[in-house]
Amino acid sequence: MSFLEITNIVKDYGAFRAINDVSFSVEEGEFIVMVGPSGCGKSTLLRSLAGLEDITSGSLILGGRDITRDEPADRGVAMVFQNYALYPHMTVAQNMGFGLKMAGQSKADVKVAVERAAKTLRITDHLHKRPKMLSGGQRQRVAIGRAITRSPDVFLFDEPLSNLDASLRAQMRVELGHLHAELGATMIYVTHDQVEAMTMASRIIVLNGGDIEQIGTPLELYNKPANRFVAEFLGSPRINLFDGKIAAINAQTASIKIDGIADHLEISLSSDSGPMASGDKVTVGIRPESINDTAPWKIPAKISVIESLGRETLFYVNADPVKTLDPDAKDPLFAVHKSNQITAQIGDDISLGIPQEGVFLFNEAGETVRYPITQTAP
Amino acid sequence: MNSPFGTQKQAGGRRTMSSGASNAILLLPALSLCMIFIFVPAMLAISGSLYSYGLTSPTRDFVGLGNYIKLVQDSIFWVSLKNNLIIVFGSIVLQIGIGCVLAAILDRGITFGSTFFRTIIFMPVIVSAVAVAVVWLIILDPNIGMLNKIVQSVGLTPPSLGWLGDPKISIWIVLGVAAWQQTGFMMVLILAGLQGVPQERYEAAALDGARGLRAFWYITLPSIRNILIVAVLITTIGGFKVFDFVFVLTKGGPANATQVLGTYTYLQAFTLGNLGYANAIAVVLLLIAVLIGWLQLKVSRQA
Repeated sequence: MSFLEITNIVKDYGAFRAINDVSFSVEEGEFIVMVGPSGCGKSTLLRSLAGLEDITSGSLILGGRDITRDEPADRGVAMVFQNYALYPHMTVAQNMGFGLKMAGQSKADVKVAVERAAKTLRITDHLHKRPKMLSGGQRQRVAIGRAITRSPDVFLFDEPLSNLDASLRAQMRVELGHLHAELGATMIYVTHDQVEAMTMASRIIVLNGGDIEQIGTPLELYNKPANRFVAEFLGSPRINLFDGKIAAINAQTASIKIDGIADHLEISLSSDSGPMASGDKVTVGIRPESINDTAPWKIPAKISVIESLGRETLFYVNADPVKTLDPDAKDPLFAVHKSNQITAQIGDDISLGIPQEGVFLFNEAGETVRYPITQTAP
Repeated sequence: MNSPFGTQKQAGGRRTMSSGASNAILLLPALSLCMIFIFVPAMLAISGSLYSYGLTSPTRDFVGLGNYIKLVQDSIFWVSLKNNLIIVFGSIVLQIGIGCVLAAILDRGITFGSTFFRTIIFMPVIVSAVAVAVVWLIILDPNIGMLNKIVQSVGLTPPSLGWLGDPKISIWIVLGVAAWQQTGFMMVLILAGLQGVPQERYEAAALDGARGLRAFWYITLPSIRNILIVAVLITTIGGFKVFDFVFVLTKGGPANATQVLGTYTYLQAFTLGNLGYANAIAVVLLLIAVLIGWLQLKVSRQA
């Protein structure tokens, strides 16, 4: 049995089903990141684990103990909130020791636990201060310290870095990674930021509309997304998708017709390719970093936007008549990533070389029927 | 001067003057009103308290601190002060205590009809104190009042001297009527404070093991501490300056059992014609109000 077993969790708000029969398990010491768009149920699921939401049905087993109906404080979990949720009338030390005080521990024990946690988080100098005297990053450390002090079986993080600025967020990501390694604790982390998910997770759970789309390591999900939703959600800039149709297919190869391009895109198939038939409509996917100059199959395009980031360059290009399938974009542009500095002008012609090795194919149901073959599987 | 510095200085000087003048003009209406209705009457009361004179006296006799010495020796003054203190502490317990409980129920206890209950409970606040007192006068009437009938209907005996005629209970009845009107205001004040406490703070407390009464004690009360202090100060000031309820309900009787400083000042000034002495009582009330007002300002600034 796994350390944390989440079985058939359902959470309804009246007629609205926020979590739809979700099951997964977490091993001790894992860093699980739950990602998904707003309203996908990730925070509801985390709050259900914490006991802050009553679940409609299902069970939660932590360390062999059924905690489904336990009070939040009795579950052996601690939570770090997005807005820190510190007690403004208490000092940092009192904030961190409050849980132990409520549990009836002696003042001496509370002091020892608080000082140990403060040392880990390098906030010893701030123990006597009130939260309002601290910066955002320091407050978040205190919130984490409050969780550490209680020595929980599972740490729950609800978008803890979203209130911090970009550089502090990057720094805290590293610190949380260190903390996880140092404490060896089981952590479940909710975010809508796929960078946080990719950089910190042992495993990622992608949620959508209350359902789990896929669970796996960051690279598994990136390289072998189960469906178009996962492929689109992970990766920045997001994967380029465009419509195609299977013109011809056999066991080894498929020939894809793209409207507006004379030559067919020829791709190889392997044993992990899904069922496809001639005449099927498919969605072709190519990651921005997979597009190169050398691939024989090319789409002519013009540069619309250039983002020079120093060590890398991003181009957004118009490949009319081939349109990318981006529902959010006003102009459906292809994103191209180059890992070096490139001097170019807006309006310059560019050829998008689509290497067949890097192509994803999704069927009409959105399921992946062909994975790229160039990446190293994890 | 043609130097740019000279020009700047001139322009700056003009700005300061015009800003000073406009500040003065803007302050003038408020200052004039304060002068006419607060400072001048206060000065007249202080100076009047040093004389002995009646409403229609052609002359005033200077008695120095004589009125204050008389005040210290006047048992009715002390009874009035004691009654004010009963109303102050009683109002704090009743108005803030019940207001706090009602606010907590409306904030977290009930899921429907909270706006309806909030409106109903707040409604007496918008009615004038005199009207409230008259309504209660009818309810408490020993012959036609509703309260006697209710008490009798449950098999109890109402006080033989009437609710407001019995010196042992009349001050508590006055206190109750004041609480009936003002509790709604305290409830709304405290409710505003409670609604300002973020939900996540309670959730963090729940995870820390503080729910129910422990959450109320450790999280809610400290979170609304500043509002509670302001509520206590407002109630205290209201308790000291109370006049209308007492005047309409009992006029300070029976046998001064509900006499408060406000009604005693009125009694001395307009019934007994001792304006100098009434001024001395009013000055004591003023000093108490200034002290509490200063405390309120200090606390508000800290908040």
